[in-house]
Amino acid sequence: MTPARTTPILELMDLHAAYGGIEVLRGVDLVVPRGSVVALLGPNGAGKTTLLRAVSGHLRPTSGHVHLAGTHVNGASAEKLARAGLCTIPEGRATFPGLTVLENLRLVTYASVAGRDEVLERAFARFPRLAERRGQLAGTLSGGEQRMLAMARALGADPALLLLDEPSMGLAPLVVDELYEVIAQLSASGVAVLVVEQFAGRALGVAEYAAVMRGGRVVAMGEPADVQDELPGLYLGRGLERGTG
Amino acid sequence: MRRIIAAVAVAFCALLAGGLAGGLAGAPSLAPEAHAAAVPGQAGPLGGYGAAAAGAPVSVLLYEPVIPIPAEPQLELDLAYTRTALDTGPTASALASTLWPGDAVGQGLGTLTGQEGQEYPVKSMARHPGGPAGDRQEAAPGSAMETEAGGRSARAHTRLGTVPPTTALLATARSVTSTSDAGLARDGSTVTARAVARATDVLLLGGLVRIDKLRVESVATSDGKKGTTDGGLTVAGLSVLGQPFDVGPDGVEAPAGRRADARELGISVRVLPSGEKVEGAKAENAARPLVVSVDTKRLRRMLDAPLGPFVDALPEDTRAEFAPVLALAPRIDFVVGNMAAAANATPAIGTSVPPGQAGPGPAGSGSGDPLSSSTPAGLGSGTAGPGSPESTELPLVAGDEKSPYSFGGIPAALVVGAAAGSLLAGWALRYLGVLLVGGGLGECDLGAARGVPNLREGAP
Repeated sequence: MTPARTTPILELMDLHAAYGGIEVLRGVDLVVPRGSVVALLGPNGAGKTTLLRAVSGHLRPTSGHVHLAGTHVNGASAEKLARAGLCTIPEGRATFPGLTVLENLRLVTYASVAGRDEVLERAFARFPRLAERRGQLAGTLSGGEQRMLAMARALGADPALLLLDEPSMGLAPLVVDELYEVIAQLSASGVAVLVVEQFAGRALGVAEYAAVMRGGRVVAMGEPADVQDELPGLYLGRGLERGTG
Repeated sequence: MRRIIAAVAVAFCALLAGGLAGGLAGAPSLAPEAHAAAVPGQAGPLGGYGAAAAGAPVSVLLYEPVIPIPAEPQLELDLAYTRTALDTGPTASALASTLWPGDAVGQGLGTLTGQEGQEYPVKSMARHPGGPAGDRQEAAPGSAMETEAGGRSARAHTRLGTVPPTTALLATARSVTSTSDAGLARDGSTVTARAVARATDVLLLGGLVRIDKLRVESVATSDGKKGTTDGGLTVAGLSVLGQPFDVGPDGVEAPAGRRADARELGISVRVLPSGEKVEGAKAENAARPLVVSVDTKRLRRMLDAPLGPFVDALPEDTRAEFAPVLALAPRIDFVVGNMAAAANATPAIGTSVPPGQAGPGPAGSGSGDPLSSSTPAGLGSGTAGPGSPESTELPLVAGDEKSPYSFGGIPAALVVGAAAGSLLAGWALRYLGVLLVGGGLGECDLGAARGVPNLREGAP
């Protein structure tokens, strides 16, 4: 089943990518419609993070197509894609630990289309806790707060497509709920989100579509409820091949 | 013998390449004042240098093609092995082992056994600048392995009081010492490699061959203009099957008829030709080692008759299984006094040596050479000759004087132009390649436009 609710903002067609001689992506087909949340699930080593790196320009695909808003962007640099509205939040804390919260947010204003005040206002509106800690060094924040800061900084760039790698990694369930609440709000405001998760639970609650990767390929894609039913089998390699975009 | 020389030659060539490169890197026309500035650890007058020394007083080499080891000789065992190398970097290395099984096993044991990180234990190693700067191992009481490596010299020394019982049937000796040195003279005007070994009462094949008071030395020195060699092999006495032989300048000599018994057993004794070679500033010296060869084919043929009935009585399967073992007839070479040294140097670019100032002689003992204080008393004259370091002070010449390495004018313009052209061509191929082959930047093969769109446009 293909998510064709609206115009796709991201299309991957027969995408291959490799680290040296080791091919990690072996013909990925995937579609992310504008303004929707797509959960990309799969076991460890399936190629999910590599896929994000290939889309965001950090890894050059060996073959296949990456189309953003209908334009072929293979080989485009990560900074050009970021300025165009594609924002990546990698796995982990992704903050500058030696800078304060305010300084971390101020950094994004150099590349953002929005002004400094707007960036701060938007960040503190979504994450009020960051406003309380604006003068605190990022490295001294809790794991959840650092994750919020990373998201706030990404949102300061006014993204149209947000790539999120394992946002729930190492966080308390309440903090994860809070983060996914923000993801849902972003989607409602028109931002497309491709969220990579190893553990499906919370991501499927927010996503409109879900895809499952295994062995460098998307082996299933569909509505979250459908995918969830087949998830154990898909992780273990017993699932049926379904439409992949 | 060939292996020791080859090891020294390989190390030496690598060192010299680095040394010469080091010399070229400081080309005076590019930075004429560079020579005036002292480089820590690097001598002034010599722009590039390399020295290597290696050897063992007794080596046992076994040649048997049936043994499935892709090397020749198939097995090697060096008693009191030492090896040093020094070059311009400055880099230096030293290796000492009371019982060295050859580089294949000694350096690559982990690879041979498939256990990464496994190292041959009976060795001492030092390196500069990577470290350790020095190491000392005591494998057994009275036996020691010591190595040192620094910016100006490298030294490896082995002392072997008691030969390990595992080798006693093949070769044994008393009071074995081996030292290899490579180093710069104090004033940096010469580089010297020296390998020295001593042993008393060397007994081979359980005493069939006996050598009294062995002393061997190989020295090679270079001052950048001329290489010199020194050293030699001396033995107080040699006997085979109890029969005395003389080792003189013409090789091994024995009274008529004495060697017949030994030959019948497949034992031969010879002295190899000297490996002395001097070409300009390059000097190589390998002492004339004594080689005792045992061709076990003769012994095995003698055993064929008495063993034949027993072998024939074996079942055919068993006999086939043991066929490779029964076919073993190795040649065993005992190389006594296997020491080699090599040195080469080139003057610093921009310096010249006025005629009569650079002497050809090696640094004599007591001249202040760091090697001299760390090696046994040399075989050389022991006096500072006309080429002593005191008389080889190399004056710097003016930077604008022409040298073979001068660089500028049209050659420089050509090199810079070629580099710029290459960069431009690379850029063009990288970014305009698609245009050159006619594909255009316009569309991908699915018909989508190429480029980076503004994703914020057209948002719902």
